[in-house]
Amino acid sequence: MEMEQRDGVVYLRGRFDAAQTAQAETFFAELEESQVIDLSELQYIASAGLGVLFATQKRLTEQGHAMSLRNLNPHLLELFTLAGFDKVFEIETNSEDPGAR
Amino acid sequence: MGIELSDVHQIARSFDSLENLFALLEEFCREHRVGERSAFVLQMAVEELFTNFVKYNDGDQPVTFLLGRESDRVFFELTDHGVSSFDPLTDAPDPEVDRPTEERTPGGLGLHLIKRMATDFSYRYHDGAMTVRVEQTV
Repeated sequence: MEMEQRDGVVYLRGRFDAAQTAQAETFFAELEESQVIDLSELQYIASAGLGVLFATQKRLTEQGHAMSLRNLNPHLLELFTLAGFDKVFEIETNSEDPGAR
Repeated sequence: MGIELSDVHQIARSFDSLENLFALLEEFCREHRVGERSAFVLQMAVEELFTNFVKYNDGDQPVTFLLGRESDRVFFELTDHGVSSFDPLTDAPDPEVDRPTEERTPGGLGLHLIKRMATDFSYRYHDGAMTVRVEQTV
């Protein structure tokens, strides 16, 4: 997975599987302020990845900040919702997307 | 209509094996024209179940991995040999998906996701071998 922070937005690209956990933890540990996480190029995530995002959100929330998520593909949105992460993160839905309903 | 089965693959008990598992699954899904959502659910289920084996089971033998198709369903089976019985369908605690962030712990989430997203999820234990099976409509 590629991770990039640019102009207050974090971009995750590729696949966030359990083998990515260590490098992702290092990257997310350095986030200090509120962030938008753009997932338009993230194809895959499972509970190991969710755990990293969850721990980061918990830490940032305690410091008065928060991450919000945007541009989730339909499978990611289903998974985040079933995990109850729509209550943990603000999830922006993209109304300009012609594929969106 | 018969059952079609892949070779039985021997998978080393390590997170590094995920890449190999995903590659086998991807090739299988392409061959059988499995839809995007079903392919996503199968990948997620393979990762959750295999990493649980690696993290929690006491076995020291390779895990076996098998793919198959029966009619309009595809499935995989992961088997861990020489281990104690643990039924992921009943023995794992449900995660606290409805609680606020500050009160939640993330445990049990993977199995919860499989139960909610997979077409069928089953477990069997025989002679020290535990097998989990996930089925998905093509």
